[in-house]
Amino acid sequence: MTQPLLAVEGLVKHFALKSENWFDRSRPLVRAVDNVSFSVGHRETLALVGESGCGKSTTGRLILQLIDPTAGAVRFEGADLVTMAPQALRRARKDLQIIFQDPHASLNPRMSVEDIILEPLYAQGERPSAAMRTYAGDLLEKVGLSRRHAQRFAHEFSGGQRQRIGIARAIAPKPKFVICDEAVSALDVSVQAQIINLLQDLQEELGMSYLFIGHDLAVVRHIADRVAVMYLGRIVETAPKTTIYAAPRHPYTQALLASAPVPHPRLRKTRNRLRGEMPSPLNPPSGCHFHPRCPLAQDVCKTDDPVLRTLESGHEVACHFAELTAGGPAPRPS
Amino acid sequence: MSAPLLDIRNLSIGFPAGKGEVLAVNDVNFSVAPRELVGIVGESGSGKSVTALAIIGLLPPNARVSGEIAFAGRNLVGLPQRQLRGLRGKEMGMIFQEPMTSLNPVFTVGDQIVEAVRAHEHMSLKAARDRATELLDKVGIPSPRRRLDDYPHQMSGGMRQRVMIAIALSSSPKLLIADEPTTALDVTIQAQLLDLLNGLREDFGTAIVLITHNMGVMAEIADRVVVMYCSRVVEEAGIFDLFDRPQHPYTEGLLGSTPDMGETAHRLTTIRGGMPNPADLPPGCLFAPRCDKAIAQCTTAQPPLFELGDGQKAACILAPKLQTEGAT
Amino acid sequence: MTSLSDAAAPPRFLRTRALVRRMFANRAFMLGFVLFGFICLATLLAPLITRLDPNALSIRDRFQPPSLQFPLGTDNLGRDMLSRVLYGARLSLWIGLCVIVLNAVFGVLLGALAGYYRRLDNILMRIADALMAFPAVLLAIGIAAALGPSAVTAIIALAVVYIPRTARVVRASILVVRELDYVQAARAAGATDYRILMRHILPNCMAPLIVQLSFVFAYAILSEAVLSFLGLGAPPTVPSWGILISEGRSYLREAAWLTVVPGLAIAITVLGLNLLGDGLRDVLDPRMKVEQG
Repeated sequence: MTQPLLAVEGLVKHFALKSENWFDRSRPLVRAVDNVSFSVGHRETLALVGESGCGKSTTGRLILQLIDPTAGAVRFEGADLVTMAPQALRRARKDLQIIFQDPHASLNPRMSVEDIILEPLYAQGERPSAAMRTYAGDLLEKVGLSRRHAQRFAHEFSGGQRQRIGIARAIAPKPKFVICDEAVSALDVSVQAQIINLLQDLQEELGMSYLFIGHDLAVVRHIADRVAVMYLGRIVETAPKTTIYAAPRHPYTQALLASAPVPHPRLRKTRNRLRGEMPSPLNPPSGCHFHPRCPLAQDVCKTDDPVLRTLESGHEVACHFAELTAGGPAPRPS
Repeated sequence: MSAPLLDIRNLSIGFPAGKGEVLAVNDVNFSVAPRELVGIVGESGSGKSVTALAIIGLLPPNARVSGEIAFAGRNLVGLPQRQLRGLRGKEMGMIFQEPMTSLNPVFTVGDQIVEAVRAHEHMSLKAARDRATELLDKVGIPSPRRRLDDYPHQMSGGMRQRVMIAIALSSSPKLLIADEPTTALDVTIQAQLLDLLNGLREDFGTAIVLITHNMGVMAEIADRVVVMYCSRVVEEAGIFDLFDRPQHPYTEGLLGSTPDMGETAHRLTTIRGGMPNPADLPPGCLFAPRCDKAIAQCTTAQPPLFELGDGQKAACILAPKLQTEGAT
Repeated sequence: MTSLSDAAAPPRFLRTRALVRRMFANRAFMLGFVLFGFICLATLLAPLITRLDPNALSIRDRFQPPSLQFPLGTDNLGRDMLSRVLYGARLSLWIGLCVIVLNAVFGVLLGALAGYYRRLDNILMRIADALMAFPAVLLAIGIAAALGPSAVTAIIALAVVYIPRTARVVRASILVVRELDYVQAARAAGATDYRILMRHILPNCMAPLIVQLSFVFAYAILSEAVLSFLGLGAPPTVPSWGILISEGRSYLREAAWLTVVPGLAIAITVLGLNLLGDGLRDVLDPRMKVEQG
């Protein structure tokens, strides 16, 4: 097998909180990302899915070195971004870009659209020129806007149009890898569909890889090649899209799929709802983090951390009883 | 069919904008029967939330309302605030998208439920606390007596939304208005809450108006759906008809745009363009500029809601023609 | 790919025009603008308004109450109060201007360092806290007393007093802006710290800074008057408003106009600047921006 474009190895991020008591200097630790490993191949889209607080967005920012990991490595084309010298990292950043969730906070309100789009190039040392401005116009057209928009400001655009500008900025330096951090979550349904299709078209055309961070399994299903499910800072299951939706193996993935809204009212059913809520990452349960909510939990789950292991079916699952879950609670009625 | 609990007729709501007025709700008609769950679906700017606020009487004072909102036979439009307040909370409850800002952070949830309970019924503090415990239990909060003394910030988003539902239920209302109640929540919690809302209809006989942008949520629990686009109702149909044979191109587009968990992951169909500017609306059908089926006639006059039989209505001039029979 | 209509997006110049329109629609801003503008204009046009030398003595005309010849009366040495107040404004406003320039430069520098480089934050902000723990005027008096009375002393003293406050305002807005997605995007693109600060953070922190500076201007004029009054400001031959009040104080009973006139000048300037600041705060508040498109 060839080297993956991006390989995340044993990524850990602990945030130290301010201690509540001024005299007690021990600072509580939040294990936001707890030993996460995965890889993304060339032209592949890996979706990182989970509920709020599971650490998926933190993982994205760790990959981009926007926050410093506590431990672990992020290998991009074989080179570890974590230990890379600052100058080399700055150059490497050209190939890794990000698209954010909030189209209102992600564009500098004091810059023209053209300057916003070209900023990643200027940041890499390019100088403003007529050729650059032409390129900005090309990018605008590529994302479905008009070159006449170049001199306007972000607040003159609707949410969907702003997201297109954010996408134009991300693809401007012709990156190899783009993180879409909840990139379509804040948009109206009809606009969301436009943006999902745009992201797919651009990937086809430019040959980028995506790490698509999201919480909506239905959205992810339309864009991902592989899906990794996170729960409380850990990856609990990774599998190709078709496999994970048809036959999820981790009880949490199964519950997540069972909770997603049905596509048609005829498919309504009383389903196995997941009990309770996600515990605080400040004080995660012992052993398997999911055991207090898991229908299959046994004593061993309270004491032993399950490791991510590969099943014959191609799933990577972190569950002691992954062999038993094949026919588990069905994600969809048949 | 029994008399409707809520009957909205020719409701229009305008807000002053610059020199003129912008209609946030334009000639809206629909009704809700007892125990029925009617969904209002639409994208931002469709007027769905303003409609909800009008029903419960929480519109800002500069709103100009015309038409009729008949609740249990009484028209609420033009009713003095004092009488509306009596209705609100007693016969109607409302829950909002963001449960953190709907709860007062300096009082315990117990205090807030007790206050709601005693606002409508004279009872001792102790009895009210018992009732609050009972309500928290009903909305699925574990160890309810202990949670009474929690402050809102000690609870998760899902728990807070349950508390909001408990407060709304404190007077056993006939109608509950839920404005995007699950939008801010995770899917597993959303599923739990939708189950809870659905159960309320059986346990309390409450009718629900559920406002959402999510067709999947509609598919889960709605009986009937009103589709709004740019301040107008463009389609109304029973939930099965809506999904099986949507009659308005916008509804069709909305269904095609919704990523779903269906059998195959097809490429999403999209509606081109974006919402028109409410201050500068296109002539004729408001959806015509984005509609693939639009013909010349579409830009001349706003189509009325055509009755298509089985309670299905669509505001599209093509809808009755496509219908072989049943058009009135 | 779908194409979007580009209707309803106004051209660029509307942004400034809309800003100006909001400014004129804001009553506090307009009133402040008129009051402060009046003072500034009068100061600039002083030689046209009065032909009398502010320092020309005329023992014959001592303690003249306001009249046609001396519209604001004369002082104990027969000097024309109108010219003295008008020329005194030059010094007061000049000192105020110097103080806000120093404030802008050092306040932004220190605030930016503290807000952006969190390691420096603790040290810089504790020093700022220590300086802010003293009452402003008391601290200014202390510094001015140590350096000896002069206009430069007053400027330095007032700058030292108000820079920590400005730095705090800048730091607070930087803390907010630095977490915004567009700043993260610039970091992810490999922009240098300098570029991130200059292009992405500081331009978006300007609104609170401008407002703060308008208040500092007012405080500086007020405090300069206090310093001069106490004999710690500009030497008495140069009339600043504080000195005028200080000199007139002995004759409060006989010739009230000697204190009232410069006092009113200070009051009008400070009121004007405060209204201007209040108005600017509302006008520049991003939440006031009308959403378009």
